Amino acid sequence: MKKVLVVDDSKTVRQYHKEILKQNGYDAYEAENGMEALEKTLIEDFELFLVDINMPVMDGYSFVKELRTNDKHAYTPVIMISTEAEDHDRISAYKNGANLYFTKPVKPDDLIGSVEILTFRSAA
Amino acid sequence: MNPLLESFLQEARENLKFIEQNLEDLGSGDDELLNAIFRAAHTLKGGSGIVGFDGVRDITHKAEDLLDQLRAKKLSYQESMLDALYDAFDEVLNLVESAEGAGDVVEADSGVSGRIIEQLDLLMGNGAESNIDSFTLPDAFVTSSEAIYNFSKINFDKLKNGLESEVSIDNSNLNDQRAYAIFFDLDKSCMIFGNDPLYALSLLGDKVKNVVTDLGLDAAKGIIEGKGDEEGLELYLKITALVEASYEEIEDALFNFIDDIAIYAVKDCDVSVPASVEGQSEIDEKTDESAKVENINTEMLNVILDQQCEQLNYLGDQESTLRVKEIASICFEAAGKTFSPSSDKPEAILSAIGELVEVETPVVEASVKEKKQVDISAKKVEVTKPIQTVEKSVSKQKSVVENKKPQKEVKTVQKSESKESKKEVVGKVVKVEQSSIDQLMSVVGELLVAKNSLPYLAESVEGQESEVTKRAIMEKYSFIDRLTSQLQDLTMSMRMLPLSYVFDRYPKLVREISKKLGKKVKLVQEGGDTKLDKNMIEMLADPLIHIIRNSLDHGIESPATRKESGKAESGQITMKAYPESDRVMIEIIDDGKGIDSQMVVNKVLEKDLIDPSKLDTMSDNEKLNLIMLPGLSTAESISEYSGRGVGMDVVKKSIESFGGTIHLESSVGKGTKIVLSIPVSLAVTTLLHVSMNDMHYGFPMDSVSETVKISKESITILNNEYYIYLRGEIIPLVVIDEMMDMHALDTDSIALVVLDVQGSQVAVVVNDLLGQLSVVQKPMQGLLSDHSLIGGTALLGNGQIMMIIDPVSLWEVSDSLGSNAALETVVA
Repeated sequence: MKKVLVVDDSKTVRQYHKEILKQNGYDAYEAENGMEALEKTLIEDFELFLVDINMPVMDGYSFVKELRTNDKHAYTPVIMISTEAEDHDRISAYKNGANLYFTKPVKPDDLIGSVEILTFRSAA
Repeated sequence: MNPLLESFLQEARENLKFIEQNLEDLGSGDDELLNAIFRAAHTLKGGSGIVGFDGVRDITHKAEDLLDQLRAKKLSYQESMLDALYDAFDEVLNLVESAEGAGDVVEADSGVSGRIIEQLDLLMGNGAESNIDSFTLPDAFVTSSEAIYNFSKINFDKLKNGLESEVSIDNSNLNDQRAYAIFFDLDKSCMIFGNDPLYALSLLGDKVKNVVTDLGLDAAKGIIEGKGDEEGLELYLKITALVEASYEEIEDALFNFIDDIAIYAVKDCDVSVPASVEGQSEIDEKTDESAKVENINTEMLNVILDQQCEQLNYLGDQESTLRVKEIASICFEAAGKTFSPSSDKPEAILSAIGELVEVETPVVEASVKEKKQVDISAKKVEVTKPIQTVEKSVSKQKSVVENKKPQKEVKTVQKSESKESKKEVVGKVVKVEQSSIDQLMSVVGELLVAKNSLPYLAESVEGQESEVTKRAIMEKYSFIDRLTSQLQDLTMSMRMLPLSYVFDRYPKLVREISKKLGKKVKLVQEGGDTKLDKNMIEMLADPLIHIIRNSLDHGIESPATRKESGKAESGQITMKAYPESDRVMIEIIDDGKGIDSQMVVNKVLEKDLIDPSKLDTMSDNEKLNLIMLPGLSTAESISEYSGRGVGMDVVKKSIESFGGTIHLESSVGKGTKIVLSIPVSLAVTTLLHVSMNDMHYGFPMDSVSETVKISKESITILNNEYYIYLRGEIIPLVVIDEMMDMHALDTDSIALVVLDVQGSQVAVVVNDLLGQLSVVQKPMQGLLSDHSLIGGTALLGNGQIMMIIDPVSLWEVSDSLGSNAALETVVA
């Protein structure tokens, strides 16, 4: 099963995303903040990251930046999900290394649709 | 309840609690705190969006905006912000509470949330330009249709211009159901004559799509100046309603007003089609099969590629280009194509992406609304690409929602569009009627009694194998004992709720009362997670409010007085809860002026509530607790002396009605501490089983501090009263001679039960100690229900009845029991 890490400080959001992923055959893991997420990348091999921006300890931007410095994850798809809907928020996400940006709440269809595409290669 | 909603509500409570506790210090200039509060609001907003709790989302969204602007120093802190934010989060708490009760999201009261949002907007300077003639209604007023939304935003005059001519009564389409705008031109005295236009409108029920009210400038001034309207019955509002009904129905409902209304047909307004309102997540259930390419969600493919193009446009540096290239090639593979840009340059990648989008997704192409010009550094490359539009139908059905559709309940949710986020996962939580649990509890109680009969059964076994059988029965007994106690714990835990359910109400109360009294008070709560029987929690709420009110009103001094006496200006009330054996202790501590026990005594004597001779033997603390004597509290006593005692007898009575005790400690000038001791559950009580004169009696285990056997010689006489010395302590001795078999006193070892009653100890002489027992306590009924000494009965395993002695009343009546006479004969 493909492993996906859900990084969000809200338990509700984590649960929501994990549930969608699980029901579609993904192995979903969770982390409460960027620091915890980085620690988890040392243990598990994730094929995709769903990352919130505003989190305590280490925010989403810093996490992705840090993640990209690791060769293993230089190109691992990262979907950033935040409540902000402004253009500049999306651009900041790209700047920090995210591949895709969604505004919360993400529809299950959209989330799974994009996760399926972005993890397509590893299935083959 | 939907587990997702449940987890949201839980999280919301945590966040709200955090906000509640820290909001006060918002203006302290602590950026870290501001950030933390912002984050809590942010999390609330995000979560509420996901579970489709729009009422919460709308409010938290505004509150978050305000906090964000404070954080970014775009706004400077004002006291009024605190009030608005408190109001906002209080309303959110209300919504969360009602959602907890309803098991589903609830609709916000648009009036309340509208006001809150308006207030927050005003503070952010958004509402400043709105003048009284134009209608800018908060989003909460949006009903089903964009048309109505717009309707509510334009002012009356403009609205009238946009409408068809006024409908006359001989209109031929009387039964034609359509939208009408109804303008009320009412005499302001209509309410006095019992004609309430809004009530009349309510007769139309769902057919009323919107009601807009306008208080004109003059009317507003009149109200503010308080002109003429002493009964508050005059109606100053101009009312306009948008109704979707036939003319006839409108006429019927508004019969009383028919001369005072103008009815206009609404032109070009299809009320029945809900248009998408921005910001709402909307799912189009229709599938667009043709948009599918090899099981790939083409729409998302386009969204992804779209964002990749955007990324290149804005950034275009090497690093991001490589990332885009990687993602694009994955997308191509997923679509069964190969990605072959001519080079690694951004423009080459862009045009290569354009290929897939154009070639592979004709359906999406059709819905492209605009073609974007792409500007890349010096070179201009034009790429056509689809833009994600809101109207696009979601192409894929392989979603969580769809899979679960058969199990989806039809619920009345405030916005059906948000249903998609409310996945019905087979529940981990089962809703059970409270009465079933109560029944289960009583069955468990019966089981306890049945279990207790086993030892008696063992006793009665006779014959050859008796010892073996006895042992076998006792083995089974201990097994069943263990199981029943587990069962009992489990059933009890089902009814348990954390105390925070009542605790959470108090911050608001304290804030409001202290504001009214002009005092500064900080409320500190500890141990809100201590669990208690649900029934108890409900019964506790009111007495606690009473106590807190007293502390605020009479305990905590005004800021000026506090300053004079060298205290911090702001007082503190601490509510602390913690478990202690099978009781829960709740302490309410204030750092106010305290209560002078002498004042209490004076008052008690003045009112002649107690025999003055009794006072001599009372400790200061006992005197203080006289404050809870019934009859002491009258309105005048509040102003006359330190003033506590407002209805303390009522508080005491209600606490004791469910087996609790209340105790008061105070030191003048330093503050007061009230300690409540509450049984965790009413259902099953642990008793100390004793016998007197072959009758069975029980003492509630939680008031028994120890049992001892003493010799006659250790009974001492002081002031003609009998005491025993126990490890250096002098404890008064009580003999209930009417119950006792006095011969027992002739032996050398006298069995004693030492009770701990309201902080004092008293030793009771009994004939025999029989052990500990869990029973279901039944209250005394009929003539005996007011018995001063016996608080209840319980059935023993052998069918005999056990009387349960109420330690508090025993303590109170101990003087009149005539124990002295009985003891005199013994000791002498």
